[in-house]
Amino acid sequence: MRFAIALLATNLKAAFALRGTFFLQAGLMLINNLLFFVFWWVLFERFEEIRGWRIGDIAVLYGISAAGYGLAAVLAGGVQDLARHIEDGDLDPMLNLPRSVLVQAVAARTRSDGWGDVVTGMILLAMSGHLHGLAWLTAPLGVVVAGVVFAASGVLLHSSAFWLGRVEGLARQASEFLITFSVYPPSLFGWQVKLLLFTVLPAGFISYLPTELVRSFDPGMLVMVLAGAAGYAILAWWVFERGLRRYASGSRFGVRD
Amino acid sequence: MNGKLLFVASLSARQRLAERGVLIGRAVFYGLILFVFSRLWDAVLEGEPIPGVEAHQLVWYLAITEWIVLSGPPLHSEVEDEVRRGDLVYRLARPVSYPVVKLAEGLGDLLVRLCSLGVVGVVVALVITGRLPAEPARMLWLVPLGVGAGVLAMVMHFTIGLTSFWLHDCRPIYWVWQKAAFLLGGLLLPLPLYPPWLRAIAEASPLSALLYGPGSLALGLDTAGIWMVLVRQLAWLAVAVVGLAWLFRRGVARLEIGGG
Repeated sequence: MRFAIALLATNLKAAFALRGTFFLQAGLMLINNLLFFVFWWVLFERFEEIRGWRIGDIAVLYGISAAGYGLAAVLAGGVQDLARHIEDGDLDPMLNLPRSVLVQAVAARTRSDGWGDVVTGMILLAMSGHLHGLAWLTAPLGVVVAGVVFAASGVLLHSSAFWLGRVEGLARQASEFLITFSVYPPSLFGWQVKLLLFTVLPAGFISYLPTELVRSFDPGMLVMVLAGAAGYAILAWWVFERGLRRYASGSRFGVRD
Repeated sequence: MNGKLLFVASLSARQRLAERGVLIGRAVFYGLILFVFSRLWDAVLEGEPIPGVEAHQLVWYLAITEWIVLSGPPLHSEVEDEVRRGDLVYRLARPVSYPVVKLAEGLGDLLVRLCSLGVVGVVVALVITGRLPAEPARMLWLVPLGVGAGVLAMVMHFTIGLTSFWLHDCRPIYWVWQKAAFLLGGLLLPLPLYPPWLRAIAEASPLSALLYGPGSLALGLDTAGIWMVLVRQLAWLAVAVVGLAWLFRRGVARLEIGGG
């Protein structure tokens, strides 16, 4: 844990060192997200309610997804390079250190644009009209859960490189599917799609259940949310460790930057 | 000269055709988006119908606008890579202008995307809606409108890539441009559904000629309207090419100063 925090602190220092780039990336990501949210605003200006969802509910859904994704990008920005590292044998230098290879690989990089997502999420949650009472606790919890599941599903997708080889493009595409589904109300989909969204593409755990928790607190749902996030995190760790046993070195000598 | 550029375009097209996984991934993503939005439109219209517009028209509208968005080659990232790695210097020394060759490469990519996604779009929209657009023959106009919009998008992507001369990373500029195109171009919602003030801004921008114009074919755009969209695409293309040439000259001048 101390190692992960030290790695994160170093990454953040590096990101803040290029201050202009940092603020440009984070700021433009914020504008990017808010521009996309205008679509929902325009839609709900004309149609007040869509299958029980109002603009405030969408703000919670989108806010939790954006902030969760941003959190994962800031704390575990290396996830999106994981498949390439596995394919190219770049994990070699990490194997020599007495620390978790997975932590080294995913926390090796932080993405400045992730801060833009985090701020977007905070703005949307604040504007949603749902932040009162227990929601002050469940909303941040939902963001953390979303971040954990985003990172865990990324690790799962990218870890398939241990068995399948070149999957970087496919893993990124699947991550885009996940983001796409996590920002639309689940009431749009039938049970078959919902089943998919609570298993293969866990958008259900990223945004649907946390949003429900913010809209109306239910202890049973809280247990489901926490169990889902923990389950995905453990599964991702287990799959990565299993894959690591099959890891074929790049047969290259090198040192970490 | 034209023969060389045609060769460059056909070589690029063949390279793209060889990337089967990428083609399939893009096609699946396109199908997924159409599916999600068909569900959204069903949900929206079951609550409150829009006079004169049916759900199947909105699915075909989205099939057209997404087809154009997904067909635009990501020249910005290629140009950024070449500027950052310094490969641009070697390409500048060649007897054919760098932007012209790059646009020829992009054209090959664009045509492969337009053809492959065009087939996917027709099949998926047909499966989802169970019917063809009201006047199927009119859809042939999508050939010039789609190519026009694709070329306009490509020139804009190239121009965004040129900002790498000044910025460390041009992706944030691209994100904002992309979302502005979604919003002002009417990617997901036809512009008549916008509030009047936002619709006025969108119609004054080049982005409505890029997406809403071609998409309007699914909503019953007449022949005069089609010609108007084509003229607007050409006019904005001329402006975009002038902007690209100006920015490229500025960027290369900066490169010479920096490189010594």
